[in-house]
Amino acid sequence: MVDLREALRPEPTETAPPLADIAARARRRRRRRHQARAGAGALALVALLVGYGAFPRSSSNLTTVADPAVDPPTAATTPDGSPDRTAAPSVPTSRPVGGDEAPDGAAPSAEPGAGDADGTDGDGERPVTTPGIATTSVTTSSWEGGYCLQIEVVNETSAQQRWQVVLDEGGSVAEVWNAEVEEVDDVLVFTGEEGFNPTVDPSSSTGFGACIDRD
Amino acid sequence: MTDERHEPTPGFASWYEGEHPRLLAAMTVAAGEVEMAREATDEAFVRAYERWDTVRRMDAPGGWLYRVALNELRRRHRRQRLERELLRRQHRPPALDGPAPVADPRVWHAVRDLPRRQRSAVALRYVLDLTEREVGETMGISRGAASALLSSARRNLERALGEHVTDEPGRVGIDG
Repeated sequence: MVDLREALRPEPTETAPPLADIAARARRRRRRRHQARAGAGALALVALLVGYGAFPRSSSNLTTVADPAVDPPTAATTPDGSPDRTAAPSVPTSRPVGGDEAPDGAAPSAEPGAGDADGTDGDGERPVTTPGIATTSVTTSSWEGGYCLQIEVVNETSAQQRWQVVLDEGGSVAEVWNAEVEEVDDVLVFTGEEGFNPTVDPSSSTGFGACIDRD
Repeated sequence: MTDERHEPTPGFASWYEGEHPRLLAAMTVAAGEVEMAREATDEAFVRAYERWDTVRRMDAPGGWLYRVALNELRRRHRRQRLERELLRRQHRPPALDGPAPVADPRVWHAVRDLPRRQRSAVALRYVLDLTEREVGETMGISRGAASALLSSARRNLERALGEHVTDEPGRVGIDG
């Protein structure tokens, strides 16, 4: 005989996070909404897609894609597909748009996501679109107060690219996965997660998603 | 939309302290995992905090809270499916399970195998102790549908556990 009330009693009982955390989150969101309202573009998301800092190495940086089993033959523009981090002989055909001095992500101006989660450091640096990188985006759900997007980032060039996607959205980001986001001016700048998908290989794609709270 | 200041609000703190553990326990069962339950629970309270002036005047702030949390969970589930899909394509294994967060691990595993809506109904009914009518209201379905959902859930659990499952009437309702 099972008594569900007894069986489903929480264990261990967890303590609630401090009220201050909840309050802080609420205030932060409110602040962001106010900021976002100024530049309210609607759901019409303009995905200016941008690659910057094309990588002068071969396919290695996306750990996941380096596995030949995962990636179907479409990704075969790299000669060997070897998951090797050493410098690749093949030089990317398209040059990076932004700062290309430091391939390992050290170019701070070109990489708004680096280091600082909250502040918008340096507002200039509008990313420039690179031909050859495309996005498709699907609204995966939407409700009265917001919506979620899933965005695919496709590298149509023959060189590995660090990717960046800029969305012109009116609202604040409630959630983002498989990317890092920063609000710069009135736009949302998404970049790959270091260690996961900061770059996208030639002829392949990565994806990320975000949920936006509308005001 | 003039700006309402949401300073720490009268009554919120004690409500929060009382409801948070309850809601978290319920969302854990509804989600079938702890992390997502935590996120949905906290999110529901953040929203309640933002709108406390309105929420506190409701007849059943708890009912509102549970609805918001369940919706939040649904959103996250949907998102997780996408995410899993992506991970699978990219060969990243999903996070591993921790220990069962409820008293009876066997029941925990059986509940996790229930369809999502049955799990939600079980969480509302047996963790939050809502009546069948309230379960229906919270899930946006009729009382009859809630009742049917719960009896399918019990049937499934009985099959999985090989034991009879009791259903005594709920003791409390929404907001006492």
